[in-house]
Amino acid sequence: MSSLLTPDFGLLFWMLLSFGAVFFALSRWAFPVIKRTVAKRSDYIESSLASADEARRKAQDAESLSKTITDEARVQQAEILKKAMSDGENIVHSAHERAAAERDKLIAALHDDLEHQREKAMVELSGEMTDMVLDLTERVLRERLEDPQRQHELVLRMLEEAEHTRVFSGLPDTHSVSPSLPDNKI
Amino acid sequence: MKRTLFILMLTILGAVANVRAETEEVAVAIERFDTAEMIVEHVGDSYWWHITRVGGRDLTIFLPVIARERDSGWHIFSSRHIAHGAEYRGFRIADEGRHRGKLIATADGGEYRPWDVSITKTTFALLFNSAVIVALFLWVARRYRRRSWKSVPRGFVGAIEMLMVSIEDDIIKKSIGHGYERFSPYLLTAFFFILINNLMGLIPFFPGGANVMGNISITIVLAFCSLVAMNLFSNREYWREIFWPDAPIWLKLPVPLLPAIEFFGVLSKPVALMIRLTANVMGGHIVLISVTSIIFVAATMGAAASAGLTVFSVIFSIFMTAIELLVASLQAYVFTLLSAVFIGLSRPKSHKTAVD
Repeated sequence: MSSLLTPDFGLLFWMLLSFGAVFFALSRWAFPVIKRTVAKRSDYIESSLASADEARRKAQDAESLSKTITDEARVQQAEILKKAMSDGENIVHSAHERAAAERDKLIAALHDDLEHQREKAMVELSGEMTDMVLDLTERVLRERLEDPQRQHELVLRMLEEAEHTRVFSGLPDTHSVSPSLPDNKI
Repeated sequence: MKRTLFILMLTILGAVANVRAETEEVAVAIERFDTAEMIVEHVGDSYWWHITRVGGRDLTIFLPVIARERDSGWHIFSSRHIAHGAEYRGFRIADEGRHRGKLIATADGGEYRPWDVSITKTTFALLFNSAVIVALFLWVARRYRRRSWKSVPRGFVGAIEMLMVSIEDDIIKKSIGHGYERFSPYLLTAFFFILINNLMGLIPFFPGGANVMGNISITIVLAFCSLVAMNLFSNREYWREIFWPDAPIWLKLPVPLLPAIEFFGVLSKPVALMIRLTANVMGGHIVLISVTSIIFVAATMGAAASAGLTVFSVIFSIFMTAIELLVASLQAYVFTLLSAVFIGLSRPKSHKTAVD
């Protein structure tokens, strides 16, 4: 047992030699290769983790951006809808207004046209009446020259015809426009 | 597991029974069994390696004796020539005295211890284990060279990488700090050297079973390497703290009490490393052999006692082997950790730098 606790030159020599050889071999050919590989893998893992973090950050940014854009789009959509509804209402309102104005304009134009037609008809009727009066006058004058009774009858008949024409043509009462023909003056 | 244990016990019981039933010579041998002698034989060093006994004959490997005799110079011969007390070329193995079990040379009627670098059992195991370590690591390095660095290793190669990375990151880097790369190869080599030698020592058959790390000559070298690493690469502040520590002047002058204690600490650290490793490994071997020898001691006590103690011995041996597996790794870890811590302590930052 004492030999175990007493240093032995031979063992010291072989231990120095073998440990030195192991140290040399391992530190020259084994540890550097293993460490280099582990370091490479470690760097790769770290860079992969960094890339993953970067990708995650980008995804978060993109998500955030997407959310912002979506929110903005929603706001814009709401605004557009609101504006569209307002525009639509305005368009409908203006269309109604335009239609009403057009209608009023058309009605006024029709009224003007009718008034014009009526005036024209009145003028024409006045012309015709004038012609008839002239014709009658001519006839009366011609009959007067022949028979007063007949002249009177003729005047009456002409007046009746004129009245009949007025009624059928829808003209106003001739008494209001035509000069009354006093019997004594005819 | 239970079934395996049962079969193992039956085998051992059978073996014991067979031993008892064998020849009268064996019975006598059992009766003459000396536990202390067996422990010394297994734990101690020898010029040959007794492997086993087959058919009544010892199977022994006789190792080369390399020694220098004063007059005739260096001699290399097989230890077979000096076995059983024989003398050869003026050399023999001392059977008593200070050099008991060692090679001695006889000259001019006197005896002396020659320069002896023989390949003893421990030396053979040491060289074999060193070759195993180198072969394993070169194989691992070759695997790393051939495979893509992206592929993660598995199995044994993965275990080596895991151990290397954890030792370097958790012990060396943390204990030494800046400049740890210089000490990393030594500390890693020391760790794997101790680990593999310890594990090989737990293998109960040739070429395992030798008590390499339980021999003080082996741990002296390791402790010396740590001492060199601690002191050779230390800084100025370390030496200032030893020879002129921050303490009252009367502790330093006229009697340098504190410097003496500090200097004693420089030497005691590696000595503590050396003794701790030797004692733990040798203690483990002795306990294991003692527990196993219960079988042989009990063989003379009758069938019932023999069987009972044999079962106890087997169970306790399995338990102790498991503990020794833990101790083997733990001692390698502790030696590396303490060496790294001592190296780290030998590179202190100066107070000025620390304040800055």
